[in-house]
Parts: sequence; C-alpha cells; structure tokens
Amino acid sequence: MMNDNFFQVFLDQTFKNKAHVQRFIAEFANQTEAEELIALLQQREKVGNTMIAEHVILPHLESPKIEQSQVLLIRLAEPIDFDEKTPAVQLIITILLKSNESQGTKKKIAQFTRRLADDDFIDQLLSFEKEAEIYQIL
Amino acid sequence: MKIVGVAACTVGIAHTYIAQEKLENAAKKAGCEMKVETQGTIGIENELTQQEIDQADIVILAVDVKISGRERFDGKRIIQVPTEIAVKSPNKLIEKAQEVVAQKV
Repeated sequence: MMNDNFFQVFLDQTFKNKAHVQRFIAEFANQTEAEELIALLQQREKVGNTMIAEHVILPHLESPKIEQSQVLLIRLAEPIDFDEKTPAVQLIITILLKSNESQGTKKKIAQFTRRLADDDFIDQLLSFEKEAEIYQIL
Repeated sequence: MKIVGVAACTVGIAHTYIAQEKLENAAKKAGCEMKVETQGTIGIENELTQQEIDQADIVILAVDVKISGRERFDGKRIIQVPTEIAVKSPNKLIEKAQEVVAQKV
C-alpha cells in the first residue's frame, strides 16, 4: 500500500530489556544521532504509558533527526517487562515521524494507527509466524 | 444517548487516532451515538459542529495536551481523561459517561 520500506517488520528479536530496544530503535532511525533519539523516547515515556493492548506498546517519536518516516514492528521472541506498569511486552510498534513530514504521509500513519484499535488486527500482528504474512496485512 | 469528544495526544500521530476509534466503537457497542474530533499533527479532523455539541448529553475529552476550542464545551458536562485511559478502557469510560448522564436531574 505504501512505498516498500515504510513498514519494517522484525520478528523473533532477542532484546533483553527496554534499553536495548530503545537503542535499536534510535540507531535504526539515525545511526549518528542515536543518543538524542533515545533521550526523546525516554521523555515520551514520562508523559504517559504507551501500552495500547496487552503485550503491545506504541512508542513514537517526532524529530528533525529522523531521516525517514517509518513504522517499525518489532516482535520479541520472549516477552520482557519494560517496567512495573508495562509488563510482558512482546510487540513494539514504533512510529518514527520526520519533522515537517507531508500531510499525505501523516495521514497514512494516522490511518494505520486507527487500525490498532481493532483487537483482531493486534492479534494477527502478535501471532502470525512469518514476516511475509504480516507485511501482507499492513 | 449522544456523546461528543475530542482526542489529542502529544505527538498527535498515534494515541489520538486509536482513542478516537476505540471510543467510537465502545459507544456504538453501548448503543450510544458518538463523534470524536481529532486534534493531531494533521490538524483538526472530524470537526464537531456547534449543533452536535449542543445536542450532546455529555462530552468526553481524551487529551494529553491543551486543545483548541475548549470554550465550545462551556456549560456542558465534561469527562476529561488522558488518551491512555480511552485507549485502555474505552468501555468503562462510556459506562461512566452513561452513569453521569443518568444522574442528571
């Protein structure tokens, strides 16, 4: 539905804690500015819990340091506790939003986030075994 | 019962839209009519008309940030929560709204 690399799916990841996940996200978004993006991720967490369903969190970032707006679906091989309020995280849906992004792209992201209100869609994202199957429903 | 609402989160790209969908779905399930305006990074969508606001029995604001046009709801019964609540417990929130409206004399 969108340019090919808009959605990036990573299954069976073996991150052991929140810091690992945040580093992965930040480095994916911008290798050289990762520290700043990690700080942004931590800041967003303070504003409110990003858990949207059991086992699913939705961290999101907007920054001029983000090179390309993308949605990353990172699924862990084993669920991990992020913190007391965020137990057993298995799926991390990350929205990377470049500053001054076009309305068209923003609308596409919003359209995708609306779908996350649907429990069946979330179940599919949590359970499909192959990356190809997930790309197909995105 | 008629409900209107506004959803708005900090970045305005994620929780805003999930909150909208979840609230509208939960309201439908409870047999209520609900329209949720979103104030996100895209701007205002699904904007509420003054008539819709006037006719609503109650207002639900699922907001993490200051919203524009709050004065439109002056004099209405308002339930305000963070978007997190609307995303996690939409059904309970609608139930609460129904209780509040039922109490109205």
